Amino acid sequence: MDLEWSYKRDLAKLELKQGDIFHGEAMLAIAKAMLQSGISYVGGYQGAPVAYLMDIFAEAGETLDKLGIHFETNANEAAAAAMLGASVHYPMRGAAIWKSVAGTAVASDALANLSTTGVKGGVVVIVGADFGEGANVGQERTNATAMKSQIWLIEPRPHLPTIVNLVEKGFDLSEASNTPVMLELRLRACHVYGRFTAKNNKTPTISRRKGIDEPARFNANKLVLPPVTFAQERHKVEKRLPAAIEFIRRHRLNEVFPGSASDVGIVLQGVHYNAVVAGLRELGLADVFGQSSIPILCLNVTYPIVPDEIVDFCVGKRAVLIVEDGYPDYVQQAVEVVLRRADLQTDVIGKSVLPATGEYTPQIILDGLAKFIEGSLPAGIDIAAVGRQAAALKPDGGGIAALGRVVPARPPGFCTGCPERPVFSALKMLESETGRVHLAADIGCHAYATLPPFNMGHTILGYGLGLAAASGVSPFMDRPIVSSMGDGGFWHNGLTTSVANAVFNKDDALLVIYDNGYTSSTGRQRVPSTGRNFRDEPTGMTIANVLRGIGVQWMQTVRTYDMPKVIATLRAAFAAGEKGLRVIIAQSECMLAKQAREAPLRHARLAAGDRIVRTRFGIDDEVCTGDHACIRLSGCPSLTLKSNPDPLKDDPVAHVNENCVGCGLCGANAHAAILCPSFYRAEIVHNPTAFDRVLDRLRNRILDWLRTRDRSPIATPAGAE
Amino acid sequence: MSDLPNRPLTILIAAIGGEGGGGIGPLATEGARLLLDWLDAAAELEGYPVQSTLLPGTTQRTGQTTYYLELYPARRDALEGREPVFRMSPRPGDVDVVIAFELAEAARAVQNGYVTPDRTTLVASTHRVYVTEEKIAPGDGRFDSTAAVQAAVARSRRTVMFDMTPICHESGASISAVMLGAIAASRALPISAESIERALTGTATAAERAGFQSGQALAATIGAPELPASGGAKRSRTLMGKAADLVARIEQEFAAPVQSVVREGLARVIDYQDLRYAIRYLDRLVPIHSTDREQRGGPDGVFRLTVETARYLALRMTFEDVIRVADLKTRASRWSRLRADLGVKPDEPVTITEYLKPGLPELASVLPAWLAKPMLQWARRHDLERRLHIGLHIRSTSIAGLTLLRLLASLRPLRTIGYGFSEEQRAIEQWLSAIQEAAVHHYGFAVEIARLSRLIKGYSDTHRRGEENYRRIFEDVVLASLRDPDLRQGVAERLRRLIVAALSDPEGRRLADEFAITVEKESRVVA
Repeated sequence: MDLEWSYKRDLAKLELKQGDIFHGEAMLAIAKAMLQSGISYVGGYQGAPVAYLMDIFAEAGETLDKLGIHFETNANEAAAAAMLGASVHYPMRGAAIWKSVAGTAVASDALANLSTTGVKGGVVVIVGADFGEGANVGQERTNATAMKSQIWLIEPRPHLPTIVNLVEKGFDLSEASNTPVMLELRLRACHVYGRFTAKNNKTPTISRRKGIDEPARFNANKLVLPPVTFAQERHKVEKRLPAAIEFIRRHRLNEVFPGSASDVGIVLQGVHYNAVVAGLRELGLADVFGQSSIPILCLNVTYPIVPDEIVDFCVGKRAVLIVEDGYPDYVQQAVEVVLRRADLQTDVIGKSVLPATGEYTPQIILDGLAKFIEGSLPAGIDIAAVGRQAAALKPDGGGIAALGRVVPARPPGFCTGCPERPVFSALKMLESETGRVHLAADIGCHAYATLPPFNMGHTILGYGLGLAAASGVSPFMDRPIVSSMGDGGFWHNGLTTSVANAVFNKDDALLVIYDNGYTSSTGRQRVPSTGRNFRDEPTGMTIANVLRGIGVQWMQTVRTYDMPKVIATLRAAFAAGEKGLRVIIAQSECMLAKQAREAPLRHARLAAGDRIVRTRFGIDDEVCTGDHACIRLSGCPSLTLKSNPDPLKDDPVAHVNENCVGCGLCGANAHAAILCPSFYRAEIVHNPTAFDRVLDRLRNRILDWLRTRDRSPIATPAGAE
Repeated sequence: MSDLPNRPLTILIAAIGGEGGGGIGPLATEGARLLLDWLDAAAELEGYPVQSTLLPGTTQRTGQTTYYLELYPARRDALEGREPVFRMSPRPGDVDVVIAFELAEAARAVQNGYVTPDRTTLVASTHRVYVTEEKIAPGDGRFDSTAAVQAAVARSRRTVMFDMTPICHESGASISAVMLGAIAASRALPISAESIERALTGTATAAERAGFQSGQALAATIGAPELPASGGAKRSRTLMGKAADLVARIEQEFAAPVQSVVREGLARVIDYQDLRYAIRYLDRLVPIHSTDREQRGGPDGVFRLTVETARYLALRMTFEDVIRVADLKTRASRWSRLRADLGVKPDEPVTITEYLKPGLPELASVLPAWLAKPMLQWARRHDLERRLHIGLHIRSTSIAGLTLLRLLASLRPLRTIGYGFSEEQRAIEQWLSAIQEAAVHHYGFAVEIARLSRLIKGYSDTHRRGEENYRRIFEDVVLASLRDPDLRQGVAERLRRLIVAALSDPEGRRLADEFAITVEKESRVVA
């Protein structure tokens, strides 16, 4: 496997027995919890922040085989959700993994139907909420999907024993209510380290070792076709929902933490429990172990809300604070409806003391708590002291003042030697001929082109949807329309939604597909065109074959580092206007993958004394005038700056640092864009042979004679740098 | 029981997300994750409840990312089964230790309020990994390292800051290992150095352990933060042979504070052309300097006008043409510097390929005017001026390649009859007389005119753009203000701002904005 982060050394933790202490990362704990739940199958699609959970299963083949569990790396989330259909008829537990809400949206067709027919075997979807700090998609809430499809949503407090327990209980809940369950984790919770007491893994009753003998009998009630659907709708509301509510209540999936100030309370989404308790502690209202003066109702299940629990908690309280981030405030609305129906007059405070949108950081929560307490005046609490403490804990902006300037932002970008970068360099150069072009961008590493230095890309509508998003623009524009798509996006959805759509409608556009071999931004998982699947079985799928089959007439494959060819191909594609869809397959392996594979080998060979030629690039600091045009066409991390060694000059010169992998883009750019003569390519022979050395000595004797002296020599020794 | 601490210790790690370079370099992918694992394991060894979490570098490629760890400073077995509740992310003002993998990330932690004087120990490497925004400015867009260090010191309780990259290079260890050593030495955590070392030994290579020890040793002796030593070394030239005689002339004719820059300029001009040209350099500078003397070296008496003119005059008189580039690329000194830069061992053969692509204007510039002018006119008529180029990949380590470059460089004596050379001299004269004229009544204005030459740099399109900006400012602001005394009020400041604007983005957006303001002001002044 070529995964970026391997869990190999941790896989033994999946085999821990009853009573053993598990210590490790939440992703691994969840995998363990799934094994403890007796799943028969699991699938999913890699996406931050749960891509690593996919990787764990991909690497844990041995454990899965032992238990007879089937694992699939699905083509997309829709396929993963559809796979859960196995539990409609058969009493086996299944799980799926994807990012939310992006993945949930892709899966929603199958999810809606699955939740309509209902399930026999327990089904849990582990969704990673890409919300808040470090997120890279739109900020939406999964709750809406849960509510409209009647899927139960667990958002456990970030505490490993609780998370593990809720994964296991999730399957029980699903079976008790015949309904799929989603368990959502935030980014940091996915990677939190902690400990819990393990149980034995459970061998599923239906497994690859002991399969299904007979297909289930035909049952029209399990299909989503009217008139059955009307009955299913009734069943959802009249049977499954009450069953779920009953299960949640009976098994206390939500937790009540009592407190002395019984006239107020806090109702929170599980994810905020830790920050709320820490905030109360800093305000002097809780201790470090979570003993709080203010009672807390921790909702580990945010859909459905259990009305009795809300009523029981709010009885006798003048006010409760709802802590839920994001918009709309579904939990608050649900609580208000419950209280109205129960005719309770408790004030429900939420977004009036906490922001309507955005992630709730510890500071925001602390400020909100103080405001709530100052406004609701809980009995027996020194309100003034809380106010003083909150004021003392307000950041004073001293850091900003001390710096006196803003620290420049460091957004993510293309890696050193990334094979996708050259195409954007070429597009930027070509814009001097064509004028600005409309670029319909897509999801994937190539979306980094929307950031400096390229600042290219007009829309990002979805994974594999870039080209489709251009189809409404191209009819109205004479200039070439370009769409970029990764191989990940192509196989995920692009093939039909974008390419077939364009071929069928004879759309006039240019599609560049980056065929780098992996979904690199999620940790280098394999895609169909990698050539082999995660079990290392050959797949024989290529992008070119598919495109040919689908009827793409104009198609060129280029090696992305071959800049003249890239430019010529783009130019030809632009010139071939009015000819429908043109596709350029921009091919070169992900540099991270290549280096991860080759660098250790290179080091070993180097250490063994083998002759190795290493290529890297350099810049003559005397020739460079420090205008940085080369950097504006590249942005490569290894193409950087150094102070100008010339005593008469101020502006820093460009500099290639030691991380250069010798991809050659900077030199090719300098050449193609006619930037400057400062670049050189160096080929260094490590561990030279005797012949190399003799030849080199002879040649340099002549070269030294040809080389000239400085007329005003440098005073300080060269290479003082 | 009641004497148990009522807050966990909090540790924020500010790092840079997984980057290319192949997971091989010392600053490679997922570095901070190693550190987090080691700290977590060390705390476990000590029996402290601990919780660590991260934003994985995978999704933050080359971007800023943070890792966070909370540790409860009482042993687990003293807690009677109770568990501390830990936060998942830090609150500004509540961080005990900030660990920064790079200086700007340390500064960012300061900016965001995570480093506070009452609490925070800041452990950081002071090297810089420039962000794209800093790198793409046509001038100097770098964040001020000194300001970052000063703010770090002012805002923290204690700092352990030094450049950790040299240790990485020497030992082959990741920066995480060196950082761990610094943390162990800082004693900012209630974890013994032994436990930290044991946690490391569990998974680390010999190189990592060596890096850890060096980091620990260096951190133990470090006082005030140390900025990286490299990068700032200036290379001065010396005057040799007959040129040395001119030193006497400099000492006679120039005030002491300007002699070193004049000497440097002179050396550069000689290196570029010859002694006669160097004398011309001095002759051109002398009148400016006497005006400067008449004004006692300007308001602060440091002869800024002479210094700036000497500097830019030398640079303008040594403009980079194909002869110069060929000359520089065939120097013996360049060969040894290049080998040192590449870190090549003495017996390792190196092949160097030069990326050259001279265009028609560059070639025409070394031809005499009677040949160059019609050639350029013809090219312009056929829209070829910017399209005809000779793309060359010349091996300067082959005998044929080096000979070719030497032949080109040997055209040096003929340079003075070239079209480009004479055009350049005319522009220089015009610039000098503007400085001279301005200096008489407005010293600051004259200094800024001298500095305006900073805009002329780069090659081909970049050079053309720089020259256009220069010419526009020179004609619309400099010459206009010289003609019309009404426009002179605040002109030095205006000029300074225009220079900054021209060097801040290549598209000239800031410059256009600045021009708009300038024009507005001018019309107000005139009205």
